Amino acid sequence: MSEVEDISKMMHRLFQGERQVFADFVTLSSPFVFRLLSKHVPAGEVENVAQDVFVSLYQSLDKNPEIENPLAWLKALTLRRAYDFWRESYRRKRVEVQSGSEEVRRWSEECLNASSAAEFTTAENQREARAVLSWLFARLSAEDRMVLSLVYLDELPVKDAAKLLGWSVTNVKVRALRVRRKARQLLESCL
Amino acid sequence: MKKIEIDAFFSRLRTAWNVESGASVPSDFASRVMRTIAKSEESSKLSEIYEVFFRFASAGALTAAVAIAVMAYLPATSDLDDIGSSLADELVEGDL
Repeated sequence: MSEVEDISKMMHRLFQGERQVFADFVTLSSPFVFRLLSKHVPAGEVENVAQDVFVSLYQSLDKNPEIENPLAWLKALTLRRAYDFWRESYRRKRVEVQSGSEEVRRWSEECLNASSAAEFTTAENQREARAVLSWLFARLSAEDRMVLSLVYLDELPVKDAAKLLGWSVTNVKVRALRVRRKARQLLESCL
Repeated sequence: MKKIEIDAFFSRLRTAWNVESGASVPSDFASRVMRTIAKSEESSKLSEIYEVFFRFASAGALTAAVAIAVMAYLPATSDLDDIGSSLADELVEGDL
């Protein structure tokens, strides 16, 4: 049986009241949650946010939510905790806006001059691209950060991104257009 | 300022975005989660107890306020003493 099927099956048991399987469920599904979070929150925060995911999942067992697709539900819960993490970070002004413009400028110049995306698969380029992403994300709001990552990096349809975040399709669509424009302006300002 | 084709940039950023970070799950993660849940359940029970306590305490405060208001309408303490002693006399004399 696949990881996805195992998680779904165990979530059904949990929501049917078998709370004694919760610890096993955490063990089984934590690699999935960690993988997802490692894309959306800093490496040092993955474990803390993952704890929040499982605690809020446990607390929602009392509310008996109607779940059609357990894995999509777990994914949505994980992404919403990641979004909460960023909202809280911005509220406490913990998001550091590093300069790093020189690195971004160099990478952007390379991007402009490269003839194919294949040239950007080297480890060095990926490291630089991660730095560019951090630079870009630090200049966006928590909401824009989530939309950029789900719509343009994970390439999810707007409808699916809206469902995962619990926002309206119009909200995500408008935000997606704005963040695209903002990202272009930010990158162009470095050139 | 140079113009960029943002979709090409996104596509290049995507290669880095999709690289697995290899975040590993600590071996005691599940037990840590269970401990956090136990603690949060304990604190929610405690807050329920506090809520009941404060409800009683505020009910007690209300009773005390009513008692003070009633006392304000009663005769002065010396009059109460008189009333008390005349009641005692009547008790002794067997009138009550």
